[in-house]
Amino acid sequence: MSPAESNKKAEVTMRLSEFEMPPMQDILIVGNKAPIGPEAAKRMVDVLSPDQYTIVKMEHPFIEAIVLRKGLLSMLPQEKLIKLILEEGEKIANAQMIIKAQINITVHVSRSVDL
Amino acid sequence: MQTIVSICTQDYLAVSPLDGVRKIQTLVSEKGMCCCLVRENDHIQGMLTLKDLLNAHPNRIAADVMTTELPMLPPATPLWQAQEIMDTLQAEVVLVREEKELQGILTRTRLAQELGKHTDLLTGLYKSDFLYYQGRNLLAEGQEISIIFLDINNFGEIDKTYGHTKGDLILIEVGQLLKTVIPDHAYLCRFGGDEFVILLAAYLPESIHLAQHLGQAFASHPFPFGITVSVSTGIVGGRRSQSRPDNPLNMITNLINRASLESTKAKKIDSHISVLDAVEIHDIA
Repeated sequence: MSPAESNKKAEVTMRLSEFEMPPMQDILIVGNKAPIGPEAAKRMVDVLSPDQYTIVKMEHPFIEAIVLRKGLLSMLPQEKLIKLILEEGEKIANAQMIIKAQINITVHVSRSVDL
Repeated sequence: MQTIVSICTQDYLAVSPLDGVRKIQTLVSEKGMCCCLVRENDHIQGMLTLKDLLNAHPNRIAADVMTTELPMLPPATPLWQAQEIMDTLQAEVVLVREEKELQGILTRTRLAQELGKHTDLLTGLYKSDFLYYQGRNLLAEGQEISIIFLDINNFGEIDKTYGHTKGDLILIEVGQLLKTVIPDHAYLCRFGGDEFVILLAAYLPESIHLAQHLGQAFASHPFPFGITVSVSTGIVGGRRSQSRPDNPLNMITNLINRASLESTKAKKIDSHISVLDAVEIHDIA
């Protein structure tokens, strides 16, 4: 059989989905040996979503920094939020990983007013 | 006194904060550098050493790997002081900077190379530059100082009788003996040939006591080949005066010179110790 009559075929599959804006959600937990550092992550999202994210660097055995959406900090103090993220994040993260996290904060308020 | 501006280099590598570690590793390797600066819009943001580059993931950018706490020293910093600061900070590289102008960078290797020239290869002791530096510091701190100048008696005869290689072994032994006998707050150097100088942050009586102690140490020390070694000692004590300011290096030079003359006088004295009191030290302006 000559090359021109070959029955080789290629199958092409496509997955189309909407681009997530910004490509990270609320939080990135960056390991200290991860291929992308916190500054690179912040600069990346800063280009797409300027001034929306901040880096919190930390002294931790394997987590170098947490990049988080600034809006979260208006709902919860930074130290409380970081403590919470670390408690959960360090259970699954390691030095080589970058963990993407989504966080929903609901503030419950109950007030009474004089009638 | 030699300062770091004379040995720092302007031949350094600068990269962008967005440059990748792999690219920087290649650049540093090709140019044989031990570090590079990270610069953006003419503003130095940080520094990368070989250690930083070796420990970093090759995919990272410079901004994520660089050291941002940059040790800076003024160009007029003496070499000895630079060594002390770099040791304290455990810094491999410092920026040599006058106000906002970068004059160059200084690596630990380059500094060690230069300071090696101020170390006597035979005895391992520092040469006189070290003493001038420490003397200048003591004067600046307002401390009293005295100089003890030691000259080995009849060293020429030792060389002629036993040969120069055995003479060298005696010099090494003398250096070791002096190192073990002098107190912590004293500084020692081999001034030249068979002459050694001790700078002491103390009043004259303590220096005289130390010189006497050294005489006893020499008398009881078993030198190689059974050679008897003694020293003639000239001592000069500084007396602080506020009459007029003077250059501290000139003051130290003057004190060492006076002490050397006293050591010559001491050769004719039975005790082999000659003391000159009260050389005036003018306060530094």
